[in-house]
Amino acid sequence: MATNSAGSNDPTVNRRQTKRPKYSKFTQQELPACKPILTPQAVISAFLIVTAIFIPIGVASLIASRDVVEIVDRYEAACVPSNWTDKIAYIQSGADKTCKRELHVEKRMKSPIYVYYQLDNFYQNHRRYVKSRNDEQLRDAGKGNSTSGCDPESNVDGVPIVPCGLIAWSMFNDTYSFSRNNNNVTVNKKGISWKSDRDHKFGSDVFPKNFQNGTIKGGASLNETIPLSQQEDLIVWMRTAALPTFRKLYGKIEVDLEKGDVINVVLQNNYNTYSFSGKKKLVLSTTSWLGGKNDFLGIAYLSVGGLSFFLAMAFAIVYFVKPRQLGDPSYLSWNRNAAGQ
Amino acid sequence: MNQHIPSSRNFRLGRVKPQAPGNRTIFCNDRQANHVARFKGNSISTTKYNFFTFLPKGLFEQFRRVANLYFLTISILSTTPISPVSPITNVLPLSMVLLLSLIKEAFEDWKRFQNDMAINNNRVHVLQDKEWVSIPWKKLQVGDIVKVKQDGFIPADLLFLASTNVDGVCYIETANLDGETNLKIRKALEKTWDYVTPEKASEFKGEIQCEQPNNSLYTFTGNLIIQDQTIPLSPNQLLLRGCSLRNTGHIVGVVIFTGHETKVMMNAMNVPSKRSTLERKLDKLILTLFATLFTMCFIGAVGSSIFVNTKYFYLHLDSTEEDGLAQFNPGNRIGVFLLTMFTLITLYSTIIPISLYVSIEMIKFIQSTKFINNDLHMYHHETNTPALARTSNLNEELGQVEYIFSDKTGTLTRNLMEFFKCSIRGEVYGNGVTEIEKGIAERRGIKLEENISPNAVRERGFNFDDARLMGGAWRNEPNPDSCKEFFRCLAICHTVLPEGDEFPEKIRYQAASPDEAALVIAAKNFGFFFYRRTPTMIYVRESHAEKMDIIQDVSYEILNVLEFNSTRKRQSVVCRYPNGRLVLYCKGADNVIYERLVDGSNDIKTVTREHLEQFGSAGLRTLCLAYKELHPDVYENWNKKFLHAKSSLSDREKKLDEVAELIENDLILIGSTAIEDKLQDGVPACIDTLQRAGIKIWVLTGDKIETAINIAYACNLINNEMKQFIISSETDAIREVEERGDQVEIARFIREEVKKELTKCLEEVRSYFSSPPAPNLALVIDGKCLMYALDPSLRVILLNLSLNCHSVVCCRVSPLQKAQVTALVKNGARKITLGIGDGANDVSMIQAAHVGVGISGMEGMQAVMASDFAIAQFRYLVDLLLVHGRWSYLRICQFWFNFQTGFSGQRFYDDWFQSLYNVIFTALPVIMVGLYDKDVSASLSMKYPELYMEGIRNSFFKWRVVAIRAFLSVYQSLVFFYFVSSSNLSAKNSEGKIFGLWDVSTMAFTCVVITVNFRLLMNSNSITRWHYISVGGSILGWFIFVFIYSWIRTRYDRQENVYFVIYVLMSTPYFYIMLILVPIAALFCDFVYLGVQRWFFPYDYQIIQELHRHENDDSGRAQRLEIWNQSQPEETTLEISELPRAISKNTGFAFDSPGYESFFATQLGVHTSQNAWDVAKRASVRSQDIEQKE
Repeated sequence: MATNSAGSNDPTVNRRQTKRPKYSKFTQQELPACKPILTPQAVISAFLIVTAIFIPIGVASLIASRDVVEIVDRYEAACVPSNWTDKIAYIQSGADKTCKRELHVEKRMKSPIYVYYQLDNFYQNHRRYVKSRNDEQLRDAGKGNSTSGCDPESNVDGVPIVPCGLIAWSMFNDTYSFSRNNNNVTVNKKGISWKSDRDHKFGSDVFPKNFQNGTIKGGASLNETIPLSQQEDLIVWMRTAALPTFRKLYGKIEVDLEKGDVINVVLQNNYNTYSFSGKKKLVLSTTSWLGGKNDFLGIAYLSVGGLSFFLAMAFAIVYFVKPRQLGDPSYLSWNRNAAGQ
Repeated sequence: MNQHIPSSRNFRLGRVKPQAPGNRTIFCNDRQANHVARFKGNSISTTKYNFFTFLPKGLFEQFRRVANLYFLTISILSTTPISPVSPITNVLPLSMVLLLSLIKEAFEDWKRFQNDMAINNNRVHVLQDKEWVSIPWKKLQVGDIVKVKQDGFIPADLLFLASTNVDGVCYIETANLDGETNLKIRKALEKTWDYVTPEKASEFKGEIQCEQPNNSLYTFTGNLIIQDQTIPLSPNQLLLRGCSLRNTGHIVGVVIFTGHETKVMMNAMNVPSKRSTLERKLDKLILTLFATLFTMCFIGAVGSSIFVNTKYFYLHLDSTEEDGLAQFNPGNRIGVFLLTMFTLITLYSTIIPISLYVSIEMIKFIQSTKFINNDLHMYHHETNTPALARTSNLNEELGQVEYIFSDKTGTLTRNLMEFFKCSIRGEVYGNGVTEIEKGIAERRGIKLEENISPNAVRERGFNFDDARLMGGAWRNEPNPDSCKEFFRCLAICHTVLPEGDEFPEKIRYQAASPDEAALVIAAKNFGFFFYRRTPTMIYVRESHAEKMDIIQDVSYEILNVLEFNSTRKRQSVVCRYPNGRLVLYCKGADNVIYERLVDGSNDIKTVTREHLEQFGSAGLRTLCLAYKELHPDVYENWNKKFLHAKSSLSDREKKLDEVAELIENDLILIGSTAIEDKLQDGVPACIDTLQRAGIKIWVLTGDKIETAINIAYACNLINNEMKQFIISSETDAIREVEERGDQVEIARFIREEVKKELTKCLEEVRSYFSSPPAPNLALVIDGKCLMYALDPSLRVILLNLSLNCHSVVCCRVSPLQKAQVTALVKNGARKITLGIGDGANDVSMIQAAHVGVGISGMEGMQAVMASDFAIAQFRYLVDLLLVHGRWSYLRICQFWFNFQTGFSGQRFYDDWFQSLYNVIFTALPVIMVGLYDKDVSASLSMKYPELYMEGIRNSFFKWRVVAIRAFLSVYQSLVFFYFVSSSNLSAKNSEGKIFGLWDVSTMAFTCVVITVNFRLLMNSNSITRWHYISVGGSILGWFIFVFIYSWIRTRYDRQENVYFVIYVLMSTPYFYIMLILVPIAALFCDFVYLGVQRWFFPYDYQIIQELHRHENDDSGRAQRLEIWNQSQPEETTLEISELPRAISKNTGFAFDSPGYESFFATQLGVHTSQNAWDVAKRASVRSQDIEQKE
């Protein structure tokens, strides 16, 4: 009987060596492995562990959030004099924009107290907006002419704008000044931006140039003698927000405000949010270790923790009421079918 | 895949493809003259590409995939200004995918190339300047005269000129062509017989006119013009490339067709590229995704066109001088809509995860090259063959196979016949235990004791162990004379050719049927050594025949040979002893012999009949031996009639049969032989396992119906408890019609018969199913009936019937029919099919099935392999779910973000984050899971084959499951976005500072990376240290990346969005609080789903996991390997006779081989006049002749 060598067309197979595969745990797929099985006990205890971790964190963050005192004052509607029916016309006119507001301190606020402005319906995250800047120009004095991506605010009459782009052009320009019992409360506007931005993204030798010289002024002007790295309002503004409702830091009040204090605010209502019906709010807030007032975090923690506690209980009840033997062969589909017939 | 069948039809049935008109003229031994014709060279190339075409062609192939083309389009779009993402986002992953795929292609092509080179560089002797010069095959040219030595391969299609055999014949084996191992005769033209020596051959000048190259293996027409004489050529003078020369010193031939023009290469089809069903489902999924993408973009674009308004003065939408405005021009909202549409498509393009393809390609590639190819359990030691995954596309398909179509010879059986048992004069000899008996015993829980007798003789074809018969011990048995007759009958009554030296150890027997060889080998081992044959004599060296330890050479004169054919089912030899005694020895099927026995001694007959049934139920092939003393007068009388019949011109066969009847009567029964058609190792057990796994096995074989049924019994596919439906064309009614010879009538009649039978069977089946318990059903159908049953009108009935049967055996089927049956189930029943076979005749079947498995080497354990793949496949599926379970949240998350940006198409994540997300931060763990995850260990999946049914039912990739995953993803995306964006408003550290866009997005992305990796871990069934490493590595990798990325500044003018962001983030406690909250909240739903699913709706594999949760599976697998090795020696003796057993109705007669009638040749109408006796006679003339020369 000749061997049936069908399939191998190669007559020179005789000199082949052994083709026995080498043993390795990898190729034989025998790597040691742990095989977790999601037993009811495991499920219940996992839920309990989650409960045990989440409830305290939730409580802690909720407490932190509750400790934060926040005063929010919406002013954009009230700061238009009643004789102006067309708000947009008012804001674009040369009329006096001064506006006075009173804030009542309901609870003692320890310094530092942070002053924010909050804008609404303002799409700082619009694609056209976000990319309308030039980081090189902001950082490097030698790159003043690089304005790519900044259209339509890249130059005026062929002269490049520094800082260019829509973001800078539309910078917020309301100003606030505070007083208590006729005593001026100073607002410290230093250190309101992230240090990394000051140090690395905005050059200390880059000065504003040709800024807001176009036909339409979008917002604030900049002092051309101060380098960009010290123009903190600009730096804050240029860190674009993720959502259309956002807050930006305006300054810090470094005295404590007592309960019952009345804060008088004199503000210049310059910025136009009326054309897109955006709200403007002034916010005074203290912080905790977790930051500003944020109940969401605590609630989220508590609800996840609570839900997992509830589920742990539910599973435990099911476990006692209707237990399923681990590895019960009667659950195997072929056994079930056999029983079904 | 339907379209492949026509090509296979071309292949097998020799339907000749349209030929180029005209013919080719070849000038023998004249390279210059042939040069004009520019024939192709003999080198072959099966590679897809060459060095220059690789890049263009390979890329073209890649872009034929819809997904790749899609990504290409997106990449092009993303280079335009409307794109919100930088081109790198899309170009980078695409080029990685392409690179990987191309490397894989190149690697596979390289292997093909090496294989080609090995073949092309084989050496062959060519006549140059009156001597034989060895050149490589590839240098061979049309018209060359070549010499091929014994056992050499024919290098090209040759015109056979001369051989060292005197009458110009040679013997070739065509195993490479059609899987048949019997020898075939080729005969040279008488004119050319002399051109054997180089001197003579160099004088050969002739001209061959023949047909153009074509793919018909069995036809050839042409003329040889030599010395102004035109001699017609026939297929008989054609030696096809790939055949091997046997039994012939050397031959000389002229090259006619070379390389790709040889008939065998013309038959080689391009391997159809198969795609797995899963892949096709994936395509559908991607289509769904595309629809989703489109919807999302549509909503976004509408939103954007509504949003744009000059009131948002800070966007400066009223600017006129700027060209980039078109997209946001409030005056042209339709333009805004269209442009935003494109923008969003590029933005969301990653919803169709390109990394899915990268990971899948990688996983499949590693699975096939590292795991399948290297599995020690699939390495066969004796033939030195490891498993080989030839394509990596179908790994997962292996887990869903429901129907296996198996070839018989070489696949289920080894095509190795071994003399196993015998019954002489009512006494059973032989202690062996067959596979099937082992199987029965195992199922009854009886432990078989191994009892290997130390002096048992084993050789190929002889697996018999009984001291009572060996070494002359039979002289002490109750019936030594019967034994002697038995042995002589074995040694004399056959048509076998001895080959090689005349020593028992060295001799080799060439037989048309391996059964015959086994019988002669048995005689040799019993001391009756047949060593030489001449046309009239048979020489036997008999030991212990007359007296103990006496060895003598006896020559028997062979007077007549009454040949075997399928109607006679027996074979007889009339011989004359040296002492003048005249004996007729006869062997044949039991029923045929029993009809012709002399009356009397009924007890012997009954006992032998019982033995036959015993053998049959053990899966053995039985033959009865009988003899008859002849009186010289009676013989002479009969011989005249015989000679008369032999010389008659018409109806010779029929007359010879009639004459044979006259003398083959009043026989004396000597006993019976039992030959084991050796199954491959562990076949019955394997089939049993596969059946428990819910896989249905069909045997498709070219063998006869008896053999096929016999093997089906042996493999445990059919047993006596089963209700069998046999649809055969061998009925009297059909035969009667056939004898009338009217083709149209025959066709009509058989069709009617088949229809009647099928309908009857189907009704019976229905009645069984209406009144349970239904017995298991088996269908046996032969090729001729199948031809009609496959007719479109009957096809449905056949399908219904066969799908209700537990096993189906199709015998006498042609390769084309194999493919048709496979296609019937594949297309008709929409089930996953697997074809397995070893020979070229299985090729069409293998290609037609979803998964084709070829047997490499002679033996294989491919069926076991298939069940082994179950896990690999399963794992793969789970992985796939994870892979595409995880794309969605990131992308959908972006969608929510876009709701908030005025639909402008601003991206949430940085470009690099996004492009590297799939490729680096999450790909590695996915691949790890794809490679390592296993639900249950290999040994357990062998133990519970039923687990495989989950694959058949496609439990893991149902749309329901996909929908749940998609829902979970949407949930996660919501969690990510809204949890993280809640951090937008208030201050995030005690210094009252606020996060910007990029802070928020980086934080979200960190959460995503962590969540995805943990989710992967959570869904893994087994966690190796590589899981930890890859998961940990990915998260760490992300942090390292973001640290570096936030630090560096490049000269390149880019937006430094994330500059320093991570340091800002990490300085706030808020970040860490978020990092704990978001992943856990996101995974919450998954966890609940997993818990509930396992608790209330457990999958089977989960139960098995729980059952064996305390076991260490690796030891189990190692044990399995050990057991496997131990079970190799299979000589087991036992209380097998004490086993309670049903007496088989099947006595397992089989005495045939394809060699007797070349089935395919007859089907083609090519009459090959080679009967065994002719072969034997010719060969003996030759050997005689050589002796004389020497």
